[in-house]
Amino acid sequence: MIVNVKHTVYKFLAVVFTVYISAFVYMKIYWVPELKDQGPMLFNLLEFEWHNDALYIGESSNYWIAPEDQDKRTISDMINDSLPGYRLSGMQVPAYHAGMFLPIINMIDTKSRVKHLVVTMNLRSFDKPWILSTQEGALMRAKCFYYSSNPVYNRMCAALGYYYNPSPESQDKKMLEAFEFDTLKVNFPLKFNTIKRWCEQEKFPLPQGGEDFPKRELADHYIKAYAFQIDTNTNPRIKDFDAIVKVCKQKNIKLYFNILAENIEWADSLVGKELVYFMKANRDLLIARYSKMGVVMVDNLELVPGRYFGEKNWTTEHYSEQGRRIVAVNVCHALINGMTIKK
Amino acid sequence: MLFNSWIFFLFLPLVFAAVYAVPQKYRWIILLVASYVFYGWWNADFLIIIAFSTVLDYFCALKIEDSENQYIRKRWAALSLGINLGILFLFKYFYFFIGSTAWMQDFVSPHQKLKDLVEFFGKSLPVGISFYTFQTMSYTLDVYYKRAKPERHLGQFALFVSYFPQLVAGPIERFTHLNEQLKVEHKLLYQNLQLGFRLMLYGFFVKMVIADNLSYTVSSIFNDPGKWKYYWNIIGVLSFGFQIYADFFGYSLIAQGVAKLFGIELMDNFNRPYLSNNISEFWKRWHISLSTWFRDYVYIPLGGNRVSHSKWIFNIMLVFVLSGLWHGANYTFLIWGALHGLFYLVERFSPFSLKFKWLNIVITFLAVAFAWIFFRAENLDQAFQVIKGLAGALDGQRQLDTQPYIFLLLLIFGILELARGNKRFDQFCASYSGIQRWTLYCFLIFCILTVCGSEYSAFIYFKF
Repeated sequence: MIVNVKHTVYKFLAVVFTVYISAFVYMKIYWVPELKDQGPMLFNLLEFEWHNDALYIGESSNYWIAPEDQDKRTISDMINDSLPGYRLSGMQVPAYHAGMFLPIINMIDTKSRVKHLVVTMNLRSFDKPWILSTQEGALMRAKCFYYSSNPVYNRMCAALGYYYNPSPESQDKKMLEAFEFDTLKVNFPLKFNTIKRWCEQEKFPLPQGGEDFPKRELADHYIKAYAFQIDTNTNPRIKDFDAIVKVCKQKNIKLYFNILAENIEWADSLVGKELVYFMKANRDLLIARYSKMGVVMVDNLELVPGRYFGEKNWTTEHYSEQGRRIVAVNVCHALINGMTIKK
Repeated sequence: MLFNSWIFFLFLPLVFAAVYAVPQKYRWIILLVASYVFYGWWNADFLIIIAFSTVLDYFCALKIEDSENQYIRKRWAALSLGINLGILFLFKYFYFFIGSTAWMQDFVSPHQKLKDLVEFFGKSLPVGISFYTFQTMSYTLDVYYKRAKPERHLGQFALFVSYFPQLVAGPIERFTHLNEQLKVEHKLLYQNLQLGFRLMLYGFFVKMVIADNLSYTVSSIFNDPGKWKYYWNIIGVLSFGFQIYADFFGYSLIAQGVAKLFGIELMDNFNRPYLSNNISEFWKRWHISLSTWFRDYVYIPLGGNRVSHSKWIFNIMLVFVLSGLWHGANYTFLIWGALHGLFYLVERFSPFSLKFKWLNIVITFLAVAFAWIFFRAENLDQAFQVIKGLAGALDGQRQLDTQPYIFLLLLIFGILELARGNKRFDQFCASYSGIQRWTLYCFLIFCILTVCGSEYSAFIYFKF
């Protein structure tokens, strides 16, 4: 094969120049509008980081509002309204977890105004149904847009599938295996040491005979969501939160982990004390671990009564206005302390 | 493995280097392994089906060739076709067949194991099964009709069945065309690389910039036709016409380009179909490898046009309905095929002829676009909703937030298609100077990098 070297060099340079121009044009014209759809949290960050002293990063718990609520403010809005002299904004996308927050936090400019960061710590994000969610592929695709590399490179990664994209079937299979084989180890007698067996044993007989299936289904959800023990060596969320702590230290940002309230009352009445034990044990583990690392831990786990949960037929952290206010007040106290100390 | 995936951009240079690094007599091994890796990337379990089909057709063809007894030849051909069609039926139509026949459902329901089996076939569709099954069937039929001599080298034949650039979405190559090329030594020629990369670049532009960008408009309309103002339904339906063309045409260009890198010339699958004057011409320009397959292996054996009038009408409808069902087991595909058959017959018997060529083109395009509604819709109900939406009968009030630049890109694509005339893109480029060509390449690269659809999406025809 005969190749004209001079021409080949020209062609190569033309391609390099085109790539350079493309990156420039994309960055100047298309990047920010595209982020609005594809990477909304980064879109918010670019807007908020220069006007806010603190950021509140979370998922649907921040913006979910019950239809009957008089006060339609989000948790972060409530916090902002109670922080005299400081400004805080909320950034949230449904189903996001710490693995999604990490690249966003990485992108905070050290010269920006942000010096306090509240990160939602959702207990369920440590469980298998969330870790092995069928949404993980879609989340990882969105994550491509959050990396600090050149935006054109990031979007090509998304377009060419260069991200972890497990099939829904494989995720479901892994989850079922975890339910069947992951054992719960406690120092008190526990009848059922796997989620599968625990769910199988739950019965809700009706007085007239038969079984209350909706109740049983809900109990199953509670068991699948909360009957787990965080393994600090293997749980991917622990790695994500650890990395967040590291990044914030490097950026000199004061970090607050906001452990969200869970419906302890329903967990207790539907399944029993054993389930509540796991919820509290996991909470205690997280508080102990991250307090040691210098993170301010805001513990809301048991603070919101069952009646303030918006959705009674599912395990969510969606609160009515009273519930949101309880969480907001708690976070606000922590922030005021943190900000005062800094002053 | 998808052409538009990062892994393919690693896979292709590796295979390319390996193929040209070894002597000709070993190249089939590299290409065969590469083809199996390419296919197995989706689901390695389904390689068994390709391997089984390969071995079956290999032996059946040899048996057909070795026998002079017509009865025995017929038996081997029937065995090969029967098993191939049986596999296709199991994976593609069985679930639909059980689901749409009440007595079969009654029979299956009480038996859990049978139910699980039906569920299994309902959930597992090997990628491109219709393409490679039709390709191997054409081989058996060609040997049976003595149009081709069978391949006696099993490995070489396996490569013909599974050659990766065209394995999952065609073109459905004929044995005599592809196998001979696979056996000949191809030198590493600059010209082949030049032509191959041109085709690939244009293919990626057409798929990633045009098709992928239109998918948002199309899915928004088809998912909820009642939500949008009626004109958005019209735009959505027309957009699907362009999306499916760009998607499949893009795939075919990349396939041709990749094959060209190895010195192989794949057949053209498209010839600017939306410039057809009538439906008959459309089918000579759209998915050419499939329409010629049906012509050669179904229509002509049924008697072609040398039969009575009523039989001919029946044959035409049968071929169109079968080509509809080839795409999938759904009433929507059946209606899509039947509509094309009907348009064809109406055209044939119509006493009117239009004076203006452009009007014929517009009418043909609109008829094709209308039929696409059934092709795209997931079920009949959705199709009828879209049609109602077109007629403005759904009271939708919302505006769709489609980016206007998408229509500008579509216009650029249209201009390129018109400009290239009947030449293939690589030949079209060859008629311009180096600077003009490279300006165009740089523009295509620029579009891919800045405005390609950012969703990682498979080619539409992969599911067939």
